[in-house]
Amino acid sequence: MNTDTITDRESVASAVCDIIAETLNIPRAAVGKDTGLDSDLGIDSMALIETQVAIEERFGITMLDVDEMEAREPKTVDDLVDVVLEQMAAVKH
Amino acid sequence: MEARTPIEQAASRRSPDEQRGFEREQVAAHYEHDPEIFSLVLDSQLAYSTGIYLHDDDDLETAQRRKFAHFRNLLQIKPGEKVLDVGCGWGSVMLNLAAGTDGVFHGITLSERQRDVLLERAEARGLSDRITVDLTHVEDLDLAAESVDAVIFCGSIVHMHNREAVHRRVGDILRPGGRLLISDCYFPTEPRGPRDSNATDYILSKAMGYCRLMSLPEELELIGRAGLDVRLVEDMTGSYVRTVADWIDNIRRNRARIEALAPGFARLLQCYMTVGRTSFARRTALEYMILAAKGHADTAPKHWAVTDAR
Ligand SMILES: C[S@@+](CC[C@H](N)C(=O)[O-])C[C@H]1O[C@@H](n2cnc3c(N)ncnc32)[C@H](O)[C@@H]1O
Repeated sequence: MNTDTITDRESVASAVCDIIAETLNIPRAAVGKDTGLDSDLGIDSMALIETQVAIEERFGITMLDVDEMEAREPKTVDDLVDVVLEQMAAVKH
Repeated sequence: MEARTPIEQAASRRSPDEQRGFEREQVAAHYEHDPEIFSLVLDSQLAYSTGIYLHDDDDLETAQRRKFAHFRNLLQIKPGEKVLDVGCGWGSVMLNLAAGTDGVFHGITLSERQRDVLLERAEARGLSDRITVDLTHVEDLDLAAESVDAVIFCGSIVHMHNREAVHRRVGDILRPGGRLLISDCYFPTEPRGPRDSNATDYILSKAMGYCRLMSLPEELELIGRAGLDVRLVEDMTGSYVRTVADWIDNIRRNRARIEALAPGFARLLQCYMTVGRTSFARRTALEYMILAAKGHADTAPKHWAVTDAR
C-alpha cells in the first residue's frame, strides 16, 4: 500500500466515524475504526441505512443496498470503511 | 381492528377529533415541502404512488403513464360523472383522468401547497372547468348521499387512521353503480418481522407523519361492510419496489439541488424510501390496487387487463 492510499483511508475512516457519531448522536470519541458496529454501538438496520445515506451525501457515491450490506456482515467501522473505499473506486473506474 | 404499531396504538388512545387534528398537521407537513423537490424525485406528472411496470426496461414515466391508463379502464368514467379524488396530491391521477375522460373531478388534500399547484396545472392544461380542489380532511367532507360516481384513494388511505368511518362515508356518498379504487400498502396478515422497529417508526411516523398499514383482508372487510362489492384486487408489490428504486435514483442524481431547497430533506426521503423499498422487496409490506363497486356497475373483466398502450 502506498502512502497516498493510507492517507485516503485515514481521512475516509475519520469521516465515517464523524458520520456514525452524528447519526447515533453519540460523542465522536466513542467511535474509532475498531469499534464494533453492533457489538459496541448497537447499530440497527435503520441506523445503518441512515449512515449509508449520509456517506453517499458526503462522498457522492452509491453505497450497497440493504441486502448486499447484510451479506457483507460488516462487524467494525473499519469493515464499513472497506465498503466506502470500494464504492469510491467503482465511481473512479 | 388490530393496532399493529406503537404509533397506531397511540392513535387509538386519541379521540377521533384529536386524531383528525393530528393527521391534518402531521401528514400535511410532508407534502408542504417545496413542490420543486418532488419534481426532482417523481415523474413528470408528480405521481406520488406506485407505477405499473411490465417490462425490464420500463422507466418511471412509462410505469406511471400505464397506471393512469389502467385507472381509466378500471373506472370507466362516463361524460359528466362526478369523481372524488381523496388525497389528490399535486393531481397526477386527477389531471390524467380529466384529460382522458369527460368526467368532473373534485380533489381533496391536507396540503395547501398541493392544492395551489394542482389548480395551476389544471389551468395550464385547460381543465379548470372540470376540476376543483379543497383543503379538507376526508372525515370532514360535506357531500350528499349518493352524489358521487367514483372515489379514488391513490397512496392516501394509508394516512387515515379511522378507516371504518372513511369506508362508511364512501359507501354513503357513492351512488348505486359507483366505483371505488384504492392503491396502497398493507402489512401481510401474519407479521414477517418486528412492527415496532426504528425503521417502521421512521417511515410511518417520522417521514410521513402518520400511517396505518392494515392487512388486505381487513380493508376488504370494511369495504364489504360499507355495502360495496370487491371486484378486483391486484398485487403491485413488485411494481412498487421498482417505483421506489427509480425515486431513489432521482434523489441521488438531484441531491445537491434538493439539499439547497430543503437541507436534510434529501436524506429523509432517501432513508424512508430505502426502508420502503427493502420492505416491499422482502414482502414484509405489500402493495395492492383494489377495485370495488356499489351494486351493478359498468366495470367488468374486459376492462381490467393492464395494457401496454402508452
Ligand atoms: C402519497 S400522496 C398521493 C397523491 C396522489 N394521489 C398521487 O398518487 O400522486 C397522499 C395524499 O393524501 C393526502 N391525504 C392524506 N390524508 C388525508 C386525509 N385524511 N384527507 C384528505 N387528504 C389526505 C395528502 O395530503 C396527499 O395529498
